[in-house]
Amino acid sequence: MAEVTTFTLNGSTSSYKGNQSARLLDVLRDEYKLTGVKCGCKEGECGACAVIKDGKLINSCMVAMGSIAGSEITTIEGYKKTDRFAALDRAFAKTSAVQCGYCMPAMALAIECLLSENHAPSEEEIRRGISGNLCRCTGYNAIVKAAMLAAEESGELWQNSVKAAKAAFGFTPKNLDEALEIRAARNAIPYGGGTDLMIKADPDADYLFLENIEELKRVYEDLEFIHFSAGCTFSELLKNSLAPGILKEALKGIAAPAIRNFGTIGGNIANGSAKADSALVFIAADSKIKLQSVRGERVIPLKSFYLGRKRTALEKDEIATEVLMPKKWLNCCSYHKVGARKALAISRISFAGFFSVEKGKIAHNAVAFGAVEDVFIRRPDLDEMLLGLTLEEAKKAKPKYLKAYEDAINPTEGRVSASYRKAVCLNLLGEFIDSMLKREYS
Amino acid sequence: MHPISQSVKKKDHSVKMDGSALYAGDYGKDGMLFGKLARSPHARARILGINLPELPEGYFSVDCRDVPGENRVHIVMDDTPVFAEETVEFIGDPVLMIVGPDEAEASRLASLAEVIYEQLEPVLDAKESETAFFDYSFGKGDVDAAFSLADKVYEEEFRTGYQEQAYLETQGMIAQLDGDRMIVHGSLQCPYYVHGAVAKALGFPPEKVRISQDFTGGGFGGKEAFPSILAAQVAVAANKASGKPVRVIFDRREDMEFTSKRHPSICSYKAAVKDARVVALDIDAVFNSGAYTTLSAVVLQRGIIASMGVYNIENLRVRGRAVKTNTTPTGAFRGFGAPQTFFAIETLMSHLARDLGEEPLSFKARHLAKQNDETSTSGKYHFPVPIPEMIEETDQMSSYRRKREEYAKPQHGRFRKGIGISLWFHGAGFTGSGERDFIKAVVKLHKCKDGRVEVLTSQSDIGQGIRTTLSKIVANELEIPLNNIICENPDTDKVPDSGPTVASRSLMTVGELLRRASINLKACWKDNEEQVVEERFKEPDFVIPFDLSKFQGDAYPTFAWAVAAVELQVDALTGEHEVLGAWGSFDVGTPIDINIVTGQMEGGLLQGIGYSSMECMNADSKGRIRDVSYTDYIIPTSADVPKLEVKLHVEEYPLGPYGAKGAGELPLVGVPAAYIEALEQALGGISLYHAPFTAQETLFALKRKEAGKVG
Repeated sequence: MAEVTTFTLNGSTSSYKGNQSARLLDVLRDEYKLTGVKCGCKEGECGACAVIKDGKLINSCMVAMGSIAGSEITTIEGYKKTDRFAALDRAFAKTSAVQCGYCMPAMALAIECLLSENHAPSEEEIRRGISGNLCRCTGYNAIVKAAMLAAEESGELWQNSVKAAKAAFGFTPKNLDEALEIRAARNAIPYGGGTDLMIKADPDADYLFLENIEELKRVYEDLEFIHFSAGCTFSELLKNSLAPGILKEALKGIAAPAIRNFGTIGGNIANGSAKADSALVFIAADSKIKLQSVRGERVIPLKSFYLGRKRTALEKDEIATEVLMPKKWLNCCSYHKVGARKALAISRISFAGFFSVEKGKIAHNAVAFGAVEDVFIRRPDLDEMLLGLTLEEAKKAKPKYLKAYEDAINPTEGRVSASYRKAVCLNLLGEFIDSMLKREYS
Repeated sequence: MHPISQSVKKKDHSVKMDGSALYAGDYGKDGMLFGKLARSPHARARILGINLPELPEGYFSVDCRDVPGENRVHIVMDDTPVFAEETVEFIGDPVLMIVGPDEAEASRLASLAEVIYEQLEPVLDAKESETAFFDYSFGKGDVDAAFSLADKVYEEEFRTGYQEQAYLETQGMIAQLDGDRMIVHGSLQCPYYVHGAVAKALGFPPEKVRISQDFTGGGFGGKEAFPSILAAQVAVAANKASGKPVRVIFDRREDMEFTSKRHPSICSYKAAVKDARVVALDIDAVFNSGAYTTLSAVVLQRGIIASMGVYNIENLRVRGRAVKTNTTPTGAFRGFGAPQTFFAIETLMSHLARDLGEEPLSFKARHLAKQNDETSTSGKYHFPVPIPEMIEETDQMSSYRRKREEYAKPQHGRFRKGIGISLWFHGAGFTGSGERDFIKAVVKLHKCKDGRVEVLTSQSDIGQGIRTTLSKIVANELEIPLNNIICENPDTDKVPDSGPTVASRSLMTVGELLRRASINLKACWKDNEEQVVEERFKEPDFVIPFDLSKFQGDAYPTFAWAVAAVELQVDALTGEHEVLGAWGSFDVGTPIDINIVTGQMEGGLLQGIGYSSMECMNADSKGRIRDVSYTDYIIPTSADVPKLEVKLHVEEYPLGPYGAKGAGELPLVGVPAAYIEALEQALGGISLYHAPFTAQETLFALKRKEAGKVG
């Protein structure tokens, strides 16, 4: 894909004429000689290459050039000329937070993004805000202290943050119709944020950049459903009042800010992984997915969208455009993710469940497991066992219900063993039933 | 607080913060060639032949036949080949390099290089290895008599896993032939180690080789010996490149899979207890060295010397072996062998105490060594042992004793808590007589006409702040502003060999030489004149000379001390751990800069917590390491251990500059024992024997415990 991408780089307009599927990281370092952008892993896992795109932190290794048309990119080389950098620089010098220095330029940009959203963050908010930027030297204390010091001493610099408005134009399709036509004609890969695609970036791939399409950015509700358009990023949904609490809980647990700012629910679902944290909640809620093409549109249960390991029902000319989440039954729920650490962790087992009691009897029970088998586990046939039971009856039926799941779950062997996966599933399911019943009693 | 401890803006702060510091990958690529290594896919095989793909114009290959000097990397034993000869000894053993102007193309061509192998049976399990690269024994007292008179004898086996340095900047090196001189620069800790290796591989006289350090994005030991291997390979390639620079920078996966990491260990301990006191230890430590010896001899030495812990035990027998397996060669990592044995001795002491019905901390306190007691190698603790005061400091910060008692009560809920504590030392500086016999450090101060003074040493700043602390010492002694001190990244054309940046020796040993040099310079200071003063290492008089053949004498002139507590909570449904807090009291003598030392202690403490919990690296049945990306090899983020508190205890060392001792390695060494002790308590008082301990293992341990099968 060779075309021209026009974007703003550190305040100046720039035209990039080269491979549109190339990584922003490589282009910044090699073509623009901006070597303050460091390369640590090229997999979106360390944050050393983070830059600011339209006011938000992003890992530049996970961005294809074509997707930044019309964007404003700021690297440390531009940022270091600002008063805000000077304030951070003073604070970092005071706490001696710079050791080997390799993570530092990106760390400064991460704190810039954090402070422009929240100019007086708590320690916990700072730790969350920089959790996508690995530092192997400091233990993070000095960095957190420096960020607090900068906020304390120079917080006013961040008070009137002007967020760069994103002007959508140029290379990417302007609207959905155009995107569907390109998809049908070119068989291009839908690119919803790139945070998954760019891990194994393919310079020969044709990407269909969907990020500028307003129709894919909407969240609205009708009587039956909340509609989430596929292009909504995790960060956007975290701020949206229509998104239910359980979905937000799942989204908060995804990676770290630089990924959440650009990863989309469309991408999370359409990559076909049964480890996708947002998809699990949608599955447990029995959501539907809308697939559109130039031929028309179809709405199918999300569960039936998943066919096998990384295989989905998406046809070659289709784009997943919307998730329809039923509004009924959303209030009583539980979510748990088992990852290897508190940020930047891929699920090893995840659980979501919804439960409702009406007139003393169980009216709704729906649970789902992620990261256990090749596809999500959602078994209404088993969950039915508890329907219509009183709380007392449900208590008695619990062992049989758990046994049914024990027989049904057939976990894959991976980073953790199949037997561990199964044991945790059953523990979480048992705890879910106990806590839901207890909640009803009290 | 000593006035020098007051923190200053670090010498290298600004260029690192604003992104202008040049790391190896940041140098301009104009005219540069890029190398990509083709590596063995087999753990052990004989090379029968090599078929290269047709190489386009401008590309060439390099293998062992291109090594003009000796095809051996000079480290300690010189058994690591620059490029494999007849056999390959681990998955990843470099066979050849493809070099050319396009990095991706060189990589593609390297993947097309067809090496014909005859596969041989590899040894993958350290326990099954019959090749001990190093086999040391030493002891004191009468172990057999003590065991025969014991009230009770215990036998336990402890294991630790790989730990990967996971520095943020991967290994990288650039070499260029300039006339008849080879110029090499890159990411490294020890310029003169690299210098020796390149000279040997090329067969060049020393003056024809120049090595300089670029800004280095972390090392932690991982850039002590490995850069010598990479530099030798890149220099051999540059020797064929008609004066063009050749660069090799590893990607993350290549770095994690094929560069040195911490030795996995199996330590078997037998203990004899008489009247509720440990009277004898019989220890057998096996370290997995991987395919070549690299630094295993010295890692093992430090490990077994530390195997008695901070205790005074009269009768001791120690055997230590570093065995060969057909796996990635292991090497230096912060702590250098001591974390493995400290995990064993501290966990053992805790287990013995519980079996004898005593609180582990009081049991340990009863066995503590004191000033003038004998060390494991029949040397002496010449200076006070401040552990008792440090226990109190740690208790104050962490409420260890109160929590320990509280969490000992039966816990039945979903979340169960535990707290553990560990006591340890780190021998300051090189093991044994290394400084005196091998390093023979030399430092220089160069006074410019304008009154500025340049510090000339081979110490490299890899984040630990040595450029700042050495400068502070010189400025302080000369009573001139810190801004008048110049301290750059080392270049062997300019600096004398003041030894490697390892073993927590730089500040204590080289810093003291600089302090003395400064005193001399001050005495002969002449305005408006250029002056140079030099200072050389002399072994302190009080040291009992160390005999390596017997492991007798002072292995270290002094020790840095530590006490740390870790509190955590286990989710009984999933086995996940959450660290609630980590507290450490550390004695590194006088801190030359409070912030810098605190930063070292905090960073090391967190690495220790990673080593105990989430940092798991495993190999499959063919010997291929599986966890080779930041996605799979998990290191702590800022969200993982929000409460991390450090206190500096000061026990001055009279022969270190202003009382300073070694610092960098100390904070990691004993952490796993504290972590595992906390986990044991959270799990209801069971005994665990290895680290890291995963969520999965925790869940199953809990299941076994609840099914009535303890342990």
